[in-house]
Amino acid sequence: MADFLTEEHISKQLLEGIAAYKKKYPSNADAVRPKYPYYGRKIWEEAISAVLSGANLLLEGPKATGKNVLAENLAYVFNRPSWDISFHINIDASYLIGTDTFDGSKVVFRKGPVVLCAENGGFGILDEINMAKNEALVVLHEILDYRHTISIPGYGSIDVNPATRFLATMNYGYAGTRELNEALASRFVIISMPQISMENLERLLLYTFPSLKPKWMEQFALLFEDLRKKVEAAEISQHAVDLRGFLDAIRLMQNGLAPSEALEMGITNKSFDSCERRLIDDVIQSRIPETLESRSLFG
Amino acid sequence: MKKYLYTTVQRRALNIIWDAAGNYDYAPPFVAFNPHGEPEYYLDFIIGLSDKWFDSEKLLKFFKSYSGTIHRKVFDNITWLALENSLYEKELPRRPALKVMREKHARAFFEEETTMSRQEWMAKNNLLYSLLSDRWALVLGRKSPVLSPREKRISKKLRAGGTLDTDGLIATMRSIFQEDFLFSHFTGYPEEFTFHFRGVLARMLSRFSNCEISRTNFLNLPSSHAGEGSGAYHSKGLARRHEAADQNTIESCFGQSLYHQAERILLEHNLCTEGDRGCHLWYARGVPDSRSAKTPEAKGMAQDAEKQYQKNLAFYQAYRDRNQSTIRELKTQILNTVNQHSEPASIAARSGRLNSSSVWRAPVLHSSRIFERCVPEPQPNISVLLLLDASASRLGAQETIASQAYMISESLRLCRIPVEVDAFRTFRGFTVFQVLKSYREENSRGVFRYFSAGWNRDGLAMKAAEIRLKDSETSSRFLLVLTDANPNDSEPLQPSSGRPFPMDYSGSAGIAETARAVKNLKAGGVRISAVFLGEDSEVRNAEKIYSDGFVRIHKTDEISKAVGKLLQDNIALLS
Repeated sequence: MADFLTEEHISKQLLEGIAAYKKKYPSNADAVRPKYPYYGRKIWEEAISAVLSGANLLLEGPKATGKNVLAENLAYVFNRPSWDISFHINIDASYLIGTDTFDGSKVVFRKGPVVLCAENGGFGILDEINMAKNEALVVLHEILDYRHTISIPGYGSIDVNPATRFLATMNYGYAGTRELNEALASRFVIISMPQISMENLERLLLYTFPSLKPKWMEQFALLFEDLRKKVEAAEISQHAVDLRGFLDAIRLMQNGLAPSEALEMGITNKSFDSCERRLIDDVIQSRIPETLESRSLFG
Repeated sequence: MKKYLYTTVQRRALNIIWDAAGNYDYAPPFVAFNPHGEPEYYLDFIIGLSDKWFDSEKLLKFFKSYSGTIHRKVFDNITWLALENSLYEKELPRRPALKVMREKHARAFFEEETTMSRQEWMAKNNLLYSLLSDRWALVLGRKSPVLSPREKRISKKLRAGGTLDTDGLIATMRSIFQEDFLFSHFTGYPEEFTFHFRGVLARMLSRFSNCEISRTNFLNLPSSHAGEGSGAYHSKGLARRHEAADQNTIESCFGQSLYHQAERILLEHNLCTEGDRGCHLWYARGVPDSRSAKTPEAKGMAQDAEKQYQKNLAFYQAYRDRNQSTIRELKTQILNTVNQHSEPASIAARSGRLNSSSVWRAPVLHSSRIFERCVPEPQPNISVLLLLDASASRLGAQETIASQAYMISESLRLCRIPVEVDAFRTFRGFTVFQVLKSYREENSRGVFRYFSAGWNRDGLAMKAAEIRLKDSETSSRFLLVLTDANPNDSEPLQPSSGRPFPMDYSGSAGIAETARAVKNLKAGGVRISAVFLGEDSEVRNAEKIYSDGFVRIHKTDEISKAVGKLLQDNIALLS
């Protein structure tokens, strides 16, 4: 991964900072290698600086901007175990911190993901943090601010391992989301995630599908760009701009499914509006011919 | 460009053009449809590409330069043939799919040929037809049709290369027009063509062989005629009629009162007080019916109402896809709001999360019910009354209001939130509540019965709405008003405390009276918000009446966001 960061032209000072951090906080557990690399020097540098300075990071941005990918990449670069905590409407403090349980003879405390992460100096990825009710998030305040402790009623308090960092993601305005409590937001430094650029999308495609022919790689990247423009013009909803679905569709093609069918499964059918599907189909048709066979794509 | 005014088919054609242009602000001067009325995919794409590769302004000037002449149709089409070839060559290296699109279009051309009658063949312009046949045969690698020397010459010139720029292409076309059509009068009559989208895509103006590519010299969206039927119901000089006769007319127009006479009089006694003294109330579920109308006035109103019903339905149907999308979006938004503010309840269970305070039950009582399970809270105990201003001031926007109200009502109904939709208007001293959809009805179709007539005594309507709010069995009630915040009635405000003389029920007096009624309703625990549909000059009125409890919208597309926001705020306050 160090090579990758060098290729991304990350500043030498930050690379040295990462090395120093790893030396200071050696980890026994191997960090999980992320499925996709994150491309974008500016964001990388901002994120690395935040982690090195001990700040918690909030990655804010619309769909398909690589928020989770960056979070996983950071955990890997700093060689820390990560805890992925998906937030939802019914999440509460006990889900995050832990709860009592019965071991057959007595009541004991069963640690939640936040406590485990804090004890082990992990990177806690708080996914879609603004999906949860603000009342449930109050327990995070003392962990995230200067106190770095977790108070557990009846069990005392736990000091947060200094290697621990919390990386939250949120998509403001996503269906089901809410305004983030100001007190919580103030405990993060915030990176506004940009849309993946054409160049980086092509790099991602090349990394994920090395055998995809350059001619079609460009067309897929342009297709994604065309769909994004349509969303920006409010002609279609965000459903179609789904990078995961887009990559899944190409994976289906790699396994022999016809491109038109794969794109239908990965992109078009994400919309449940027939009129919108037609508009998405029209865009796809202008980039990927209906008659194209999957075997012509790879080689 | 008012994008929201297009039908589904028009929107698709425009999207194809915008997609190709990569510019969603482009107002194309042409659009292409096939004989079945569907967008002609390839040609629309070419129209879009013309904006990407050429200077659209210069091209427009060129199209205008011969627009008033008899050659316009032919010139338009052969210019597009030249553009097609040049654009194809320019775009192909960047878009391999274009080849397939072009060939598909060419095949469709010859397939259509086999289905055309002899008369249709004859109706075609021979020159154009020959040029098209030659072009598409070439694309498919087929043998070219037999062409005259002139046709051959023009066809060859129209194979404009991909290296041409705008000036080069225009120069080529000018030379074709001059040499092969002996045309040199390039002044045109530009005043005939606006070359701008103003509303819906309108009539086809020229033929492009088996498809139609038309100039977008468009009309505005037809709307209700502002004056239609208004005179009879909207005259400030209308004298107060005899009460009994008026009641007959009201009953004839809107049907029987929902409340018995004694109940109704009691309601009037309680609600028509102070400035509203002497006014009357009428709550009805009826629909004006010309067959049973007892008076000519009622008959006329019934006929107008029926016409408006058909217009409302047609208007909704014309934009059905978009409207259904809005309903889905609004429904999701409401459900999200409801879910976010519902607290799941915990119940004792045999599995789930351990309840430490119940653990003792296991060893002592041998009970396994020591866990907790979360069950979602039942639907919030909330109902919505949607109140529509149905005065004559809304004549120009009846279809829009009916569509908006239908979408709100359907979205709430789909979320299983009881909703009633009432239209209110004041007519002959009676403030009439027409129940278009009741809380218990399973569909919102009745909302299309909305029509506007008469005055709007908003203050009294607000007071009277309380009665309909109580008809719901929920503990929390939310009143949502679609209004222009411009109260106006022919009956004056009666003298009361602080007002020694009667005053006109309009302007600041009407606003103050309505604001007071809204304040009283709020004090009674009713949540009240307004969706404001009025003009800039009336925003202050809305502020005075509803303070910050209103959202202004300019077009139907904004309705879901506006109503969603209001519901979100109000449901949040309930939790």
